[in-house]
Amino acid sequence: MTTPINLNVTNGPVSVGSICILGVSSSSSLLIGDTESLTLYSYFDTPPESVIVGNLAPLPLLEEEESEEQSPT
Amino acid sequence: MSIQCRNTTLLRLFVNTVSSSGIVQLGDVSETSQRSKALAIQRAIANYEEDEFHFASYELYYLPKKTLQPCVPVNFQSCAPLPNINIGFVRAVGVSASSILRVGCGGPLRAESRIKHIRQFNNRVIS
Repeated sequence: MTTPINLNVTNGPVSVGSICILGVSSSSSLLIGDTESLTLYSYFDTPPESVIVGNLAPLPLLEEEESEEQSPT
Repeated sequence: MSIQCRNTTLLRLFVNTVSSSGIVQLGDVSETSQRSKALAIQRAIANYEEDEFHFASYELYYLPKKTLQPCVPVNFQSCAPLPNINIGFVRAVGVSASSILRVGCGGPLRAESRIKHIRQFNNRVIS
């Protein structure tokens, strides 16, 4: 039977001016205070390069616009 | 496991959006459990043959959760002779997909998020 480890933590005071964060997402956490235990899971699956971030999806150019670009008159 | 909770003081908090099982918790909490699945299929040519709009069709959504095996027993104690946490201003644009922004002390926190996406365009290359 392994002997238990005694872990004694002494916390000091904390003072922070300001925290600016763009996003807290996909099972993440911003904790200001003490926490007993955390169990966070995040799966994603689709390869990152196929993700479009933004309000408008970049739709492909139509044929006539492409031909105009290649041979400007 | 015994933790001594400290006093948290926050002067100003600005959060723009809280969505998809996100939590903004002000104060102490005993336990939190969140789950968010998502899917988001966007195809140039629709595909109605496969059953692709149900979570059960994708292995991602029923993968077993891995857990840490307890290796050594730990007696954990924490004490705080000067128990004050002072934060001036917190600004977060978004809290989403089973995440938590908590100001205060808290017990076990469990969160799970399984997004998928599938963005598929036809043969054109998007530059």
